[in-house]
Amino acid sequence: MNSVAALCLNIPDIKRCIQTEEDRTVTVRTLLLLSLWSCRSSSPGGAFGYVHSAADTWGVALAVRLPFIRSLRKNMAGLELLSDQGYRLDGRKAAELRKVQARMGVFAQADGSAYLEQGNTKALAVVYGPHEIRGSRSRALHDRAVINCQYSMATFSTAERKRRPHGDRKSTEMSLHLKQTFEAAVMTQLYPRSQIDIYVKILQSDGGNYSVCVNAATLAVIDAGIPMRDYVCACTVGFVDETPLADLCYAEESGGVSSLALALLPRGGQIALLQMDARLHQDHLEALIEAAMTACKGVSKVLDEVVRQHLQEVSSLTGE
Amino acid sequence: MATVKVSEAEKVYILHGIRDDLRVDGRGCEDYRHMEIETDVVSNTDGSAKVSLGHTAVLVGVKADIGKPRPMVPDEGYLEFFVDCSANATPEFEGRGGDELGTELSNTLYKVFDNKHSVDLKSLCISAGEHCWVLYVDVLLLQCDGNLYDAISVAVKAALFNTKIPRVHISADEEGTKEIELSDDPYDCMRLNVENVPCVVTLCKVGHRHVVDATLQEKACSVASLIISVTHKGTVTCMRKTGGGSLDPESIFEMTEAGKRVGKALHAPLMTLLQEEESLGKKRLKVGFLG
Repeated sequence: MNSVAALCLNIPDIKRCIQTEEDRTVTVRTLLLLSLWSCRSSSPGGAFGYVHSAADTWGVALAVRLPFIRSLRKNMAGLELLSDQGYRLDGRKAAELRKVQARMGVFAQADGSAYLEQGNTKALAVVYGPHEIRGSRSRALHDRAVINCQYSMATFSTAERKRRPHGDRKSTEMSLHLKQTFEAAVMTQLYPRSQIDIYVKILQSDGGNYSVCVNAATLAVIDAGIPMRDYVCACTVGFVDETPLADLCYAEESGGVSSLALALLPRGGQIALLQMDARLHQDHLEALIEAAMTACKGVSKVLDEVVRQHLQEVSSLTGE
Repeated sequence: MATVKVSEAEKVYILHGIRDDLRVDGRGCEDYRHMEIETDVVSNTDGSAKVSLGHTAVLVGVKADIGKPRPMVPDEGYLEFFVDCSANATPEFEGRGGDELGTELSNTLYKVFDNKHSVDLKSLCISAGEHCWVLYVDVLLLQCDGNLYDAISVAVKAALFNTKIPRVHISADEEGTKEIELSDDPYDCMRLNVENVPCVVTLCKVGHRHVVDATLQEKACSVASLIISVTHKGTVTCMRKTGGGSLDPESIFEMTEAGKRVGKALHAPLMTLLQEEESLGKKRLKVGFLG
């Protein structure tokens, strides 16, 4: 998006781009952004003051061309997120989840571990604890356990190689979100002055990293035998053409959809985490949250099945 | 790495067992534990492999990128190694805790591959002095149960075997500027010759004898170990001594001979296994972590 934003500020560049139409994607994206700005410029005190004058003149021209742009957008293979028949890029219906496959107890050394695939996004979660506080004792809480999360991505998990597996801003933020989510779900008051470590690793990333991590970590916490109020299930939903799309893949996430991530404790319908970074009209928010909650409940069914199957396997092995 | 504490009595038990060529888990001194290998597990990479050796689990992903050749060798590509000791393996690796071990492991990998015969680097050259393939070999430690070096080297070899580098076509226009075009066909790719890629054999000196593929308990009884990287012909490409204790020259000689023997014996079944898996093609059932 940065390159697009940079392009937008340079109006002659855009003109050239539109005239030659060298790169259709860039052209359309900039056009759309400009049309947005031109709408904004009518309201006083807009944030992009210095582009307004240029965008205004372009905006007039664009208003005429807008239907053309819309049709162009529909025709663009990469941008048509929802077809007229109601199918998405990967052939799913709007409310359909990707295939969720999971396994608990992947590793013997950890207290709890789980592997979860949601479409092409794959995550490994490992839980250590509850154990004594490591490092400085001052972090200990006298009435409940401290939850310690680390989110990291394998350097080869994304299409472009990552230089660092963890420690950048995005993963620190993600760790914090995971911590918040699990503080709401794990019955921490049962383990005062102790610590529970939850480590998640994305092995392959294809959108919905946060939700896949939460789902994998839930299974790992259950595998570790740590009591929780309920399963925590998470899902990302996007909003395209007045329709909420459940469980976004990378192509949809990066396609400029306003997306919302939600972690739910399905039985009570409590929301453990809600996050949205994009613009969305307030009227649509309720429908979007509703869709996210339905999707989370779908995930919880799958997780429940995985847990039951795992228990059955383990109990048949131990002969109970 | 689950920390193990071994009592004096246990140490004596392990030492006496090894003296009689019978280890705690029933193996002889030159036997490996059960090893599982699966290639092509991460579809975002150009080549990947997952290896588990006992409880040690390693995932290797290889990504091919176009870069600039090193000025000293303009007609060769190069390999970059990175070892990520993730907190998944042990809580001690959280934050920057795993960096030290990771650097040590990746430096050893650089040394193991620092010779002309391991990988044909000339085949990675696209246009001399301008463009070459850089293979980023990223190792991810998922679980540590001793003998990391051997597991990593086997996984690296398997992942390099699995690596598919897209073919490139270079076209020059009138002005002489070259343009690189990548092939669109995913089956139009170049494979690496991994025949000469060495495998690492770690020999742990326990008492008066040495063992291959030591578990954490056995490692706790040993004072020093020798890391030897051996090719399929038995050529040694790198040798390092690790651990706090010392080794006398005579035992180093003995251990090198044993390492060469074990290394040669390790390569043959590994290559047949990889080729067998490859020949299955699309019929192969992918298990990954779900199995």
